[in-house]
Amino acid sequence: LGPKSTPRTTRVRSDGTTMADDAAVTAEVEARKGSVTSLVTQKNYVGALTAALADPEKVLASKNADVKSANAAVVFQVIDAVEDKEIDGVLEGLDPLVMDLLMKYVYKGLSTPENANSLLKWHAKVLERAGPGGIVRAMTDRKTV
Amino acid sequence: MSQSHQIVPSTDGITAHAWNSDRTELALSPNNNELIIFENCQAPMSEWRQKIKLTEHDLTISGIDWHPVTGMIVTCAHDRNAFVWTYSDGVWNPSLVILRIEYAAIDCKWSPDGRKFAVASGAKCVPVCHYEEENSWWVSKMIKKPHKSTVLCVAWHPNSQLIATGSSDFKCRLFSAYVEATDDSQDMGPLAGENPASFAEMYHDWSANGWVHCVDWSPSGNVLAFGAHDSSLHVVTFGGGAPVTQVVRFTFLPLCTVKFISDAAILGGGHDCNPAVFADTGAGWAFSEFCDKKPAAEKKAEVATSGAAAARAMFQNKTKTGQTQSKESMNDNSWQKHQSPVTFMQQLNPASSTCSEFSTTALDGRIAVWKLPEMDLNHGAMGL
Repeated sequence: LGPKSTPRTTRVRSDGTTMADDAAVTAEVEARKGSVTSLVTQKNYVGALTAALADPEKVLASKNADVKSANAAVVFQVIDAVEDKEIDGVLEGLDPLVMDLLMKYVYKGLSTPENANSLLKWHAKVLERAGPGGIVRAMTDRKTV
Repeated sequence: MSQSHQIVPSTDGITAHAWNSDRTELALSPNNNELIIFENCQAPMSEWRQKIKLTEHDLTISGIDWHPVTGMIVTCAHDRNAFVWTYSDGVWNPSLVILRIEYAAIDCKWSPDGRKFAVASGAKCVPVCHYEEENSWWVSKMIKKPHKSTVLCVAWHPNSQLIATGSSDFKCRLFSAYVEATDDSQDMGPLAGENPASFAEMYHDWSANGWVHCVDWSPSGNVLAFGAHDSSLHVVTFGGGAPVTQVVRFTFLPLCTVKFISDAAILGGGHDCNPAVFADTGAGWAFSEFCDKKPAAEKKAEVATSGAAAARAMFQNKTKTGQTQSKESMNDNSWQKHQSPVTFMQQLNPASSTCSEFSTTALDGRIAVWKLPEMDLNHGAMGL
């Protein structure tokens, strides 16, 4: 019995991940994209943001950059849709841990030149609530988005 | 009254400080290899006198601890050495302790019974030293595994047999520091019910998302708190079964030093240059308030509203460099007692169980003395 007898999807790569893991995460991101898109079209921005930021563990643990980009795109979809004056309403009552996660996405978004304007507005609003501590946590967490 | 004093020039800064038992003398290091002892500290701060400057260390002193009962001072420095200083016949005598570490010492602490001291070092280990009478010298035993990186801080449990360490490998760990030569019988303290471990064995560890800068035990020894660089304070409560951890994620900058005031309140000093109070509300620990408060009634300058006076006032305002007149400047912290991160905190009132006064030093060269009962704080919530 040689290496070819192990199904390709379960073979463990050098970084500890398998193709099956990637497939599971990609499927999860696709599902999230679907539900978030529908919530955005219904203009339920609070629901859309909550759904976009829910269950982040698999994406955080994944080492696949494409998966992370795809999930980030879902979050940015919500951020782009919300108008500036509605940001406060959307952030009201957001769980502190979710707020920290959102700050990570804001910084990820700011790493590319697109949408800098709206992202900077979101940054200021999240900063009001999470404080410099939120920025510190976004910067120091090894689990990246 | 709480106040601060520029005791050494701000270009120097203070790395560590410690008080003697009756708080009449202060030992500190101005961010170099000198240990300076001030006397007359029961008087107002401006009257403190420099008594003596002790230079045995070669490199920057990183930790000082002064035991209230034995009266001995232990200092450790980046030169990988520690000295134990004993005072006799008006002279401080240093006794070199061979720590056997290849990297700098970061912090040192006496055990509460004064018979041992522990040194946090960059060599990923903690030498725990006790005195051997036969050879009249201090012998070090190592706590090594499983530290993966520099040990930044150590804290002794009140029973002098358990030691908690914080490391830059993001973990806080609890070890047995039971040394048969000096300790009587093994006391498990808050871990009653677990199997006693021998020296350097680890009982528990806890993870954080950043370097663990500071760690401290509560006066009763039932609660352990450590602050990490991800702006969080972890509070571990022992007693009956497994230890329970609560993580307080706060909105301000990380803590550098942490101290229990009582079993229900913790003080944290950090990069916000302002000691913060965390209190145990019935439902868990939470940030309560900052100690240093901006003076409330800041007199607004008389604003001239008419004609020439107004024009003159406008030009005068424009010449005031670095100050905005229209809005309160967000970054103006000149009202604070410290201008740079608070790096060291010590209980000031004689070591009883409840801390009512404490002192802080920072790299701005200032020492600030805080008297809790006189401060504008929620004393009831703090258990004072």
